[in-house]
Amino acid sequence: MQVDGFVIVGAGEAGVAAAFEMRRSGFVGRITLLDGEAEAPYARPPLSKDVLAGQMPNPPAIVDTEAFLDARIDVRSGVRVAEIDPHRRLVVVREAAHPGVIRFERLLLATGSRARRLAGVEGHVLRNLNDSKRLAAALQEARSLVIIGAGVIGLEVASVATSLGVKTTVLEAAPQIMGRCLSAHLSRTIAELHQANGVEIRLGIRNLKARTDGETMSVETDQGLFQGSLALVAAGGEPNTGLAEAAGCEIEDGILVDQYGETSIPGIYAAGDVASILLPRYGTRVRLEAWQHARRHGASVARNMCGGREVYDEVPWFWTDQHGTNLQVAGLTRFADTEVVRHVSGGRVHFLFGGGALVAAATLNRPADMGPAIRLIEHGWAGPPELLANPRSNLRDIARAAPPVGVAA
Amino acid sequence: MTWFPLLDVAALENGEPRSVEMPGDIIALYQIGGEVFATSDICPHGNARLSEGWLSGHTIECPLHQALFDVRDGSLIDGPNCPGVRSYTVRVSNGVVELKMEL
Repeated sequence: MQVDGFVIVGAGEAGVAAAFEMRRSGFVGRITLLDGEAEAPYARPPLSKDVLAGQMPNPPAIVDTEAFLDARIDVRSGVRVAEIDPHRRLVVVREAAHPGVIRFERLLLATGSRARRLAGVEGHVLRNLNDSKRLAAALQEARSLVIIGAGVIGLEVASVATSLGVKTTVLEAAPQIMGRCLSAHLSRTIAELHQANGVEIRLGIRNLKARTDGETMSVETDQGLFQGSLALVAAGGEPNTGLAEAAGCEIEDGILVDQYGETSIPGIYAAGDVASILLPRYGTRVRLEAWQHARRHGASVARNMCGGREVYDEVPWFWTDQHGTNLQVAGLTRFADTEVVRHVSGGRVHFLFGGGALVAAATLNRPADMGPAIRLIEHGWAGPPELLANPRSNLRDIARAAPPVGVAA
Repeated sequence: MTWFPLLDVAALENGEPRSVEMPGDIIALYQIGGEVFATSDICPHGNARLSEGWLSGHTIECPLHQALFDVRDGSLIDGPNCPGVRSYTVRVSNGVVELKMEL
């Protein structure tokens, strides 16, 4: 008799991290990792950077094939799950090449997110390896590019396209670029960086309509007509909640999970981009689309699937490289009411306080300052903002002196 | 066996990595509770200095992409898919940190 094991749907960072963490947590049963894409699990950060620029033919594997073998993780690429039967505890695959059912004792949904498309707008999107390769090939031929959406992906593409000599225009509906993750001040700085490198940025765009005229993409807006030989829709991501919804899981933007990663159906969990999670440190529900979050949340939920009772409360963090500038952001900027800037050689650090405590920080060409900044956010550091802004203060000493997490000040 | 002198051990602060150049590599030194460890300072994943990262226990976090390495043997604990970082054997002799040269 075969004992039912753990099944993971989705082999992005969250699914892969979860699979290995199950083994580290001592789970000896079967682990099946299913993914609809044909390729073995690969890293996505280079898709909007080196792969797109034609400097890296293929992204690295998330882990090497041997590691899956050594950990006895059964990876099945190119397998799309058709349905989940929560009562009989089955995952159903109807594809001609791999029909069948897989029984599970516990199930993890790490189905990620897809690029949002805009009605009536045809253009490239960028989410997976195929998208990246298609866009990379098109960029080699293109003379001009219109990007709809000034989020991280859109701006990374603007940076790569410009470096390839493609004239680039970015259209954004919001009044600032990267509005979800940057303060207005830092957003202006990044916009200036793009403008200095020849990117045209238009904010507050309304009534956008696009059409293809032969070789030209035309985008009509309230601010005029923008044309390019290519268009990219980079208007954010939508969680792949279809399977979960059909199975009866509660959905709230993403798949609703509790602090342990369990959905409204016992034994079914969700992690990464697709999960709507509660972050206790901010007291709010969020859905995060970021590499580090996917890994850490996947691993945390895996430990809970193996019997742990761990409340996930990581400080969200991401990096982006644009026009040779390294930008890193930790924490949630939207909880800030006060901002101070530390100007230091080579770059600067923005510290964002909310209700007197540090809630977010961003480093511009100062990666070394991110380590202490994250620890200060973890501690909910509530000292004087001027101390962090003062370039003569030692961030590392201040971070090390902060009381251990969980100890009341 | 050859030992290459790097710097005075007194120059190392507990928990604060420090970078030292020597012929052929740049070395990150870590003093943890009086013990000294050494790895290459260059992250095997990206072009970053591990000595600019955050040291927590025996784990150094790369400042660029948060790869985590064990400073005792250079092994990758977590992070992007990359090899471990080269680790070096060091000793403290008469107050000087010395690195064992592999000949």
